[in-house]
Amino acid sequence: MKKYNVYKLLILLLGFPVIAGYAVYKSWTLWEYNYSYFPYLLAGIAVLAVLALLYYAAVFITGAAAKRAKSGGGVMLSTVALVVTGALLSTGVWFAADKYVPPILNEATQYTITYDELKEDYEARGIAQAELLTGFIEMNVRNGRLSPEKADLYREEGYGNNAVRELIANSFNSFTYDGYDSFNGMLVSLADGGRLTVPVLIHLLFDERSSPSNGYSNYTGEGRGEENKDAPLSWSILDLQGGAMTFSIDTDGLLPADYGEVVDWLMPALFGESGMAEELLTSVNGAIASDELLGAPIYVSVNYADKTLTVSIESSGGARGVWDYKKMAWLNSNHILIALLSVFPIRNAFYMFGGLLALTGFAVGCVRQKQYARGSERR
Amino acid sequence: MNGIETIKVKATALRALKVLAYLTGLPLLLFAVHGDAAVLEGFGVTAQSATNAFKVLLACFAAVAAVQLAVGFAMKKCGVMPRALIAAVAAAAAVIAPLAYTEGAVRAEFAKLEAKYAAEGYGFARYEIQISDYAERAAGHERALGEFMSRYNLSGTDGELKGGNLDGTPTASASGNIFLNGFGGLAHYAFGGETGAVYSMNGLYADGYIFGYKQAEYILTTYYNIFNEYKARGLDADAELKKALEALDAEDSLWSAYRKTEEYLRGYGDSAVDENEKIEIGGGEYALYKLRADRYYLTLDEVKEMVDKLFAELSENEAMAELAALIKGANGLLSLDLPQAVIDLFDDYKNIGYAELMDALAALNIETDGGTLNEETLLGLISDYSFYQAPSSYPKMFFIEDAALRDYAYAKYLGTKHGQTVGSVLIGGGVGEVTLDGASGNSPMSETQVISLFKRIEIESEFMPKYYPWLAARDALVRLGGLAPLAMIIAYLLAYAERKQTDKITVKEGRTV
Repeated sequence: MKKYNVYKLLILLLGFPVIAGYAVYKSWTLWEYNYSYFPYLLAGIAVLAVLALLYYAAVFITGAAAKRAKSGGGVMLSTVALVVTGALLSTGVWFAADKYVPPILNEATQYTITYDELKEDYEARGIAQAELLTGFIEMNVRNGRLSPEKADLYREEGYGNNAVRELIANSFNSFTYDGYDSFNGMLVSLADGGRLTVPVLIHLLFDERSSPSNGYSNYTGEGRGEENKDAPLSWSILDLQGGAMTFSIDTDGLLPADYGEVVDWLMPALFGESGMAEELLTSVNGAIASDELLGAPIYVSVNYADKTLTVSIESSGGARGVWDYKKMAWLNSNHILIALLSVFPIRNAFYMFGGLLALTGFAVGCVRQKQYARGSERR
Repeated sequence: MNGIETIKVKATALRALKVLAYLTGLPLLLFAVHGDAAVLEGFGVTAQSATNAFKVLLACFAAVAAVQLAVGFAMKKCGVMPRALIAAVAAAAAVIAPLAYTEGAVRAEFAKLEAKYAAEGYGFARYEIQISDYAERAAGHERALGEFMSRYNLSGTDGELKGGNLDGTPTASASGNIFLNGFGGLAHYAFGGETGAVYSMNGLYADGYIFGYKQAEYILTTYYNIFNEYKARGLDADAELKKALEALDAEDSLWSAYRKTEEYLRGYGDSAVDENEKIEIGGGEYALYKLRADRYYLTLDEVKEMVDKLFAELSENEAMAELAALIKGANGLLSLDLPQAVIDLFDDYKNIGYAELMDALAALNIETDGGTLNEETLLGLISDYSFYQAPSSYPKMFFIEDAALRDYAYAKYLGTKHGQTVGSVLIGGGVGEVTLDGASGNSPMSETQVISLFKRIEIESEFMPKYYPWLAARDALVRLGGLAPLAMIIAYLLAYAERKQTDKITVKEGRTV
């Protein structure tokens, strides 16, 4: 009888362990990049473990039932039960997940990350999410919000480091309460909807904004003097949107011909080696951050070449240690996202090899049938 | 294999062949029709009606099945041939009837449409041409519409509301009950009510309302039609509009009277009201201060404050001294003399403010397209991009007496100012989304192009959904229709042969299988 048990064991090894092995193999990159999210990374493994437990429980129970079976039909019934359980645990569970999880995820991320995007591309997304964290640490080591002396420690421990974790949460809260929530919803939805027009930008920059709803204004980095540490610090719409806007002005013909000469003489003097333009811009940028103008820093930079004046207005988010709002929202819930991501390799392994569970279940059933036949011969 | 086994195998093979034969008939045809309908489902213009012909065919084929069943019961005693024949005739009828409809009725309809649409300037192709290229035509319709939509940055057919009004006042469809009551005998007016846009209380589109195709069509058609009407009378609509608006400034105009009402003053009055006093509007409560239009644009005072602050910061900067020296020293170097006001400005660079700057600007006497550059033109430029029409009171153009001119004013306002804000400029040198980066937007289509596109979309939306599903079905009917009766007969014969085999088993075993 022993050889049958060996057969069954061998067959069972072809089922779940193959799936688990493939899932681990496909999870490796995700784990490698996001090891600092350690406990959250285990979500996928936890799901795998639960399914394994259920499956082996089914193997055990149907095995016992087969042993006690009084007829060949009874053994067949236990085989059918095992095959069905295998199918339910592999394809069935994930069919249900594919149906019920997407709306929850899509709503939670306001459609900035969708289930369909993740299900096959989880690895690239995992790397991108990891880079959000490393980039965040670098930005804040540079501006001193994270102590430069401990830079290597932050890099090493990543999300596992308390200071890093707190800074992420604080930055995001400040960004939300002093930034996102303070804007008029209609304007934000136009801007988010790819319609950040000049009037909308001007509204967003200059309209009165609702004041911060609570005390999450603990940003103390650049642009924030010691004396007004407790005052709320605003974020401009450019910080929320990220990136820069550049526009060019052709100075030839900008002014009437009489003044052409003035422009041709003045511009090179301003933008030449004297460094005058740069010097003046620091004052301009300072004025912009004041309450009379925007109440939040925006970097204006100007360049002049080939009779073209290039003006770019740029978010101060990078210098102040934040990504744009969408990325900050992702970073802030990175642990949840990564827990979710860790489940996708498991899902895909089950979809690809789920048939094995039914197949091996059937094979085990065949061995049991044989065992039963032998048993009844002896009897 | 014994004799019975052989017979069983034969019977099974015949049964399989019978099923196969049956499937090559009407089911295959249905499958093909459905495939062609699926192509049409992919185009917006035919999406809703794509399966219409399929559904009719499905019903026809169900009728054939019913005939088969009835014949099976009623003619049990007859041989197989009469039953096969009746089923085949039914199958043929189910194929020929819809074909006859397309070849007869649809073809005749096409001939009529060709004449009708030709009169409207639309080249409607003959039946023989459209039966083979209907899919390309539907795709062409889709492309032309898509190109227009993306050029003008429109949102769907009916537009889209992003977040309502800036000041939080209510929005509604044209049939809503939030609207103001008109003024001084002038009834309330909502521009283009039938297009299904979303409105503010004053009958203008809600602040966050993005035009869809229907609104863009209505605005542009109104704009061009009225412009051309005036042109035909030897008048310039823009000049007339300007005159009409100027006339409203008269002391005794309705507009002047309206500006004294509380309705108007809550948006534009002096801020002598209690800021937190609430009033009820359209069923909701609003703090008065929120309704003030000047909260939503740059006021002259704000501009002054900003300029003063900017130069206060600059005056602290050492580079300002350098710049001042440079400018003052320029007079000898350049062929023209800088105006004294400019020299004075830099002489006293520590005290530059808004007023000093405007003086210097005026002294420079710079001519631009918008006139001499001075305080007024500069503020005009700012108000081009920073303005706000309070949704809770009527705009000035509401009071224009001439109905056509008023329509024109609304169309122009929505196509330019409103479009500028929501990223969908319809009228002007740059259309669609005008941003800082791509300052000029997309190049506009010409009036002729726009109007002929609207005509084309209108006409094609009429006949494509109605007839194209039939043209698609016709395709499959012609290709596979002939197979249907044949397959039916073969299926019956195979069923007969199968029966013969199973009868043998009954005889041999003395029982039925």
